[in-house]
Amino acid sequence: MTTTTTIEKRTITYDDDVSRKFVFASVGWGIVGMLVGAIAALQLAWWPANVAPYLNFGRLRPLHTNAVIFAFVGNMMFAGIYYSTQRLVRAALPSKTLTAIHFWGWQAIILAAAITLPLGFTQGKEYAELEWPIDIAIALVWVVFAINFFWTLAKRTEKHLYVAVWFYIATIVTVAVLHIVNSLAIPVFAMKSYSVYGGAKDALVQWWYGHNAVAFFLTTPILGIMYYFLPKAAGRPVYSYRLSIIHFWALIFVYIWAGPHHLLNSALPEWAQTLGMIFSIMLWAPSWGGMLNGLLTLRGAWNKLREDPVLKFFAAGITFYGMATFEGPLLSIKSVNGLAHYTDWIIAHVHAGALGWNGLMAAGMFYWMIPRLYGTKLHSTKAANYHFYIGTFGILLYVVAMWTSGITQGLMWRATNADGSLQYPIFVETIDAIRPMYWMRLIGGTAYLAGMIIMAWNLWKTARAGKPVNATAEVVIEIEEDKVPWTGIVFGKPVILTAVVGGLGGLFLVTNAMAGLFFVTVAVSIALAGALAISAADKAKGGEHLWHHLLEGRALIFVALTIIAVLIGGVAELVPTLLAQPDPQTLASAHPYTALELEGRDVFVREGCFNCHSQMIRPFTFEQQRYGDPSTMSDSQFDHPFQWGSKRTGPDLAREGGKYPSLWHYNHMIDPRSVSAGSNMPPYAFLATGKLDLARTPDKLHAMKSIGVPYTDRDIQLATSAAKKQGDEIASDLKGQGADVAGDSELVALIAYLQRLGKQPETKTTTTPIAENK
Amino acid sequence: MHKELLSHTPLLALPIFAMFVFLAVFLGVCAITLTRKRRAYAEVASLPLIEGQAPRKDESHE
Repeated sequence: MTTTTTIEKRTITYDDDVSRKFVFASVGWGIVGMLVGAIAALQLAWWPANVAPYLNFGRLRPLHTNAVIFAFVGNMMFAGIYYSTQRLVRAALPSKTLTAIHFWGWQAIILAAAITLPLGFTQGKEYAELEWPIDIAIALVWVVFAINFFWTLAKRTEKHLYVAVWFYIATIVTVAVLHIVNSLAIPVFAMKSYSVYGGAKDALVQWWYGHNAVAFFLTTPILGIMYYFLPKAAGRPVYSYRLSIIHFWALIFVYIWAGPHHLLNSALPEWAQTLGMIFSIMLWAPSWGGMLNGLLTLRGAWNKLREDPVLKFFAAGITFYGMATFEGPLLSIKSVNGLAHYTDWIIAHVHAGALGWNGLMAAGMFYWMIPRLYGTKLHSTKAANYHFYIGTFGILLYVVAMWTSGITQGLMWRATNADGSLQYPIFVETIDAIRPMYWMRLIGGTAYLAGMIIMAWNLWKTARAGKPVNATAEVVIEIEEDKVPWTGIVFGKPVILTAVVGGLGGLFLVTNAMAGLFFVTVAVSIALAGALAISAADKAKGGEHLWHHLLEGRALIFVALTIIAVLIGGVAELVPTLLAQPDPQTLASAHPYTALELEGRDVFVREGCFNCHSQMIRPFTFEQQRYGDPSTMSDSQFDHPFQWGSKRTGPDLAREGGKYPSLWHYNHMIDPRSVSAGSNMPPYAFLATGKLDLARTPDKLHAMKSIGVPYTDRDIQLATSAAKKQGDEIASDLKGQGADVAGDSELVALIAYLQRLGKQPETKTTTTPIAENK
Repeated sequence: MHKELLSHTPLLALPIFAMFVFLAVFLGVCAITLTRKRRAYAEVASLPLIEGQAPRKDESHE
């Protein structure tokens, strides 16, 4: 290995315009997203706030989550990544065209989401609701972002990639993989598609995506931002660079596995649940390693917090990161999850992360960047401090309210009398108990929103007081022509060691010759001893050309190893379930939905009913007493997408079929409080006048057949007439009881679907599924 | 335990194998990184500060 060095002076002008745009887009969309969140909170506390069909809670809630995640945090992340990457690698962005496509393309996607979600165009998968044309647009814009980013790295004049850049790399490659895999769907028409995965498979893929959207969209890029902006603001390097290396590799290896903790105690295979739980608990270590690394960077600079609002926001944001990443593993313990899942405790957890970690880090970064991007001072430090206090107060009020609400709900659902019967058998009793907490949440959320508005005003005034500045830096660049070949890194000792240990482990496994403690001990000893030996050998050489140091200078190989690290967990977890074949006997006895039931299911998905109603009865006695037998994998095998849900603002519906007569459902939809006093469900009377487009029903069955649902050609041919016939029967039944509604109305289809849930169809009536038994 | 797991499908060797690889990598990274002196990373840790003021010696953690 030889190295030649040449020295060159160069002037670099950074493209900071894109960071300015992304900052203001983030602030603007953040206010919109949080305003929608406040309206949704009001709707839960006071149902009349559901003023129009397209503004009902079920449609607004996805708009809120998408706006906050992809618009607020997304734009913030892009601003921070572009700003810091250019400076860390000492290269300007290579293409103004790509940068413009990225910025305007992303805003167009957000706008499309803001229009289509209230209109009811949804795939029915949380945080992945957007329909297929928008999904394709997201993939394309993301690729543009990736090209722009990696092109910048290719042009870099600083060879070494700082830890923040590693986190950005992990974000870019992993989000691409997650989005593409989870969004695979079969289009039916322009804004309608069905997920290619069904039931438990869809659940596993969705929460593999959902959890890692949190990990690689809301966490890793913000950690990168933390590793860049916190040292800048504190005026000192990160506390421990060594810890940051361990933090990075441990986090990306572990995070990808943790998705199934969203499906604990469900019909998902037990092994997947266990993996999800174990890796979630392991996640606590790297998360807290990162959190402590951040906070300890402030060591010796804590006095600056009194004067500097930027550091206040960063310190509080990192503290919330620590709190949320302690709570996450706690909630992933099966027994704790049994109490917390489906309750507002999860909402508290999510908002501690989103408002506390993402929101406060964003504010800190904006207050740091905008004065520099406009060559001036922050307009009002006092207002920034006020924002900090009102925002922190808002988060705390919100989180405490939802903790209280969640634990109350969880305990009430499981409370039994001395004779073993449920103490609160009527679901709405639990809603009545937590209603004050819903008002408290609204106050907390509104306080946080007020802080955001103050920040917007402050940043705007700051920008008006200065002029846009594109930083220019003249740097002395040492261009090292490193002669270490790529094979020296790819086939370096640590990689060989991992391959040997992994291979040894695989061999043990296959031959089954050794097992248990001995198996683990041997492997661990080899890994540890080998790594120490490599380290000692490096030291003996005087510390030059350390393997990881070399790796940090090779972007392409770094990206490849990151992809491998992420894919190992993803593939190992998903493949066994995705390739599993259903039991032939179970398949033979199962019936897909009738044409009308399928139409009703589409209405259910469109209205976002899954935002409040789960379809997954857990194997707990108190759940069986309330809802019926625990759900099984076969219950939802033809569900594209699955509708297991993640929150119960209303009761579980997995075995709703036949519980009530159709008239009850009719009345419940027209006016929920007429049959369930105290309910906070929005009225759905508009479904009674909404007409189904039965001409499209055969296309829907055809699409379902193409992804494995056993419809026959005859089922597809007769879909329209069969749906009409079943609808007319239900309408006739309702008319006989005084309810006048058309057979081809959306309400009748929804009733047909609800009456089917958890039941196999009767064989003699016209509601018999039109699919043949196989 | 792994015998019970593999009785469902041999594909379940995948998660065990992958977990094993993680363990090896994690321990390797820990050992290699933590046996290095802090000052070996001082220069790279200061990268964010280069365009601004360099940290005073007494402010550096490394």
